[in-house]
Amino acid sequence: MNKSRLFKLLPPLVWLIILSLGWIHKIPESFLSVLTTAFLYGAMATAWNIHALSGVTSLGHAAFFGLGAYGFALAISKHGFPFWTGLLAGACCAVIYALLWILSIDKLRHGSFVLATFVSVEIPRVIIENVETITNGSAGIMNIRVPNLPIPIPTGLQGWYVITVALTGILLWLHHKALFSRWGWGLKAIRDNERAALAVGVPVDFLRRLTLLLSSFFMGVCGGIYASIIGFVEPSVVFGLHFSAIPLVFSLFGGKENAWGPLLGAIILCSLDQLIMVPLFPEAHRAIYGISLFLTLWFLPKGILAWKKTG
Amino acid sequence: MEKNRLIPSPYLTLESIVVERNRQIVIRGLSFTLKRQEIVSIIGPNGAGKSTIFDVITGFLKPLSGRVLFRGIDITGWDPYKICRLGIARTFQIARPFVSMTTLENVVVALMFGHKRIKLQSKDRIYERAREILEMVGLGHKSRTLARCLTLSEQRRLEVARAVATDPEMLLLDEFAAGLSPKAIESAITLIERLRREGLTLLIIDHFLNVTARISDRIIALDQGEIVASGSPEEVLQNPLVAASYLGDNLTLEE
Repeated sequence: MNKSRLFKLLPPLVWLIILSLGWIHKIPESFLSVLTTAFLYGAMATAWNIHALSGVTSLGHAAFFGLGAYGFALAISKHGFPFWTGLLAGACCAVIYALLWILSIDKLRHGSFVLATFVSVEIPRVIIENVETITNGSAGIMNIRVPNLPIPIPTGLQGWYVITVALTGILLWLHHKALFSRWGWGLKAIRDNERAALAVGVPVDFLRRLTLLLSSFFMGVCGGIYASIIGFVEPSVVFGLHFSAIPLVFSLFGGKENAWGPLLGAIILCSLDQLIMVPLFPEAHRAIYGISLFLTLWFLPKGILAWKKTG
Repeated sequence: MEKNRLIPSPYLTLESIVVERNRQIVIRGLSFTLKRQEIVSIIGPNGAGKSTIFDVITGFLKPLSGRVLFRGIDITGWDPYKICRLGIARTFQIARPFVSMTTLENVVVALMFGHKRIKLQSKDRIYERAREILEMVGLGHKSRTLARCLTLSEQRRLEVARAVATDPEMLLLDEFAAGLSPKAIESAITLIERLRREGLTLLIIDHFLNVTARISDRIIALDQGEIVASGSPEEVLQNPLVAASYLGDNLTLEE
């Protein structure tokens, strides 16, 4: 009993230690920047996976990411919102778009759902590119000045590190719930057999929509944080296929049905990419994602964290 | 509310149900009623619409017209999970276990989401009840096996266990005896009689006519989406129309 309680306390402790690294000034900038990127991608992958746990695959999360980034950028630079309200505004834009998904493509499954999500990214992007008076069109919004935060965290890169790690922590907790709580069991039942899940009283549509809304909300938050770190948004970047596909790669690499899978996948692959691939192959460093996806699906279809069980 | 006292005399009522599938009418104006704690079997040749009726009652299929009433509540077009929570559980003709879970976990999910879900408060109590149900259907020794590794007849029994776990008042069993050995059929019959003693109403689809005749209070014979005969087992099975459509002209019921 005592041992299991200790085991439960371990993850939050590790998280606190990682979070506290943000206050240490001796950590080299380059290292911290890689870590921040990795955790931001980890948060995205975890958010994406919460939706994927309901048994569907989305290739359209860049829509939520981009809307989050744009909502944030517009709220901050045009309307002078404070940081947190700006993030919330961006996330709300993403959730509104997720509601449109529910109204339109809720009944689709498998390949047609993937395609529909994939195409749906183009709609907000084209609109934003063409409403130039508000959004500045395809030139994007430059020089997003982030207001000072009302909480005692370091400024600059260290601050972004702290915010990203904090967000990742929240998402990991949610992801854990989506795997092991009562509704986690419901989601698992849906993944295994939708009709049987309905027949034993699992509210399939409700759970699937809930995961989509949660997932889109946090994807929007990620977009906002990304925009504030980079300092500008541009339609072709934030609505790019990159942000739809990369969470999928990390989740599959790390293991979809493991609480730590998406985050670990992001940390490993991001570090490989930034520390090894970029210096060696500056032109083709992103090939690492394609190669790793191919290798995982070939050798470890349940992700690297399932290695111990199968091997 | 004291539901038990207020139950109107027909427990389940189907009122002139019409179902269309692929632009063909498969159920033509079907009506019947069930009384509480009755065991009724539906028989008929393949394609007669037996499973379709199950789909209509449990909300998987919306009828073109007609109504389904359960305890006086109109449940036509409700979501399947709501109907399950109201107290109608079903099994599927082709077993649909949650393949990546163990046998025990299959039942646990049904306990967590089914009819009286939250009333089993603690986690331990849920697992305890799940084990009881598995023992009841004779899968107690397989509780840790992954559902995908069960044999077909075990998967059938798991279907029944999962349906029972939702704590239903009415149970729809689709082809419960298909593919079972004679010994397994005997234990299935014992199980059905036990369920009835516990107060359940059962609607059964089955092909083994001598089994059906033994356990049912009433039989409804279907052909091409219409009722050709209904009544006590003896009446229905000696009906020439049933014999013609289902048994073939030369067969009679063996005792």
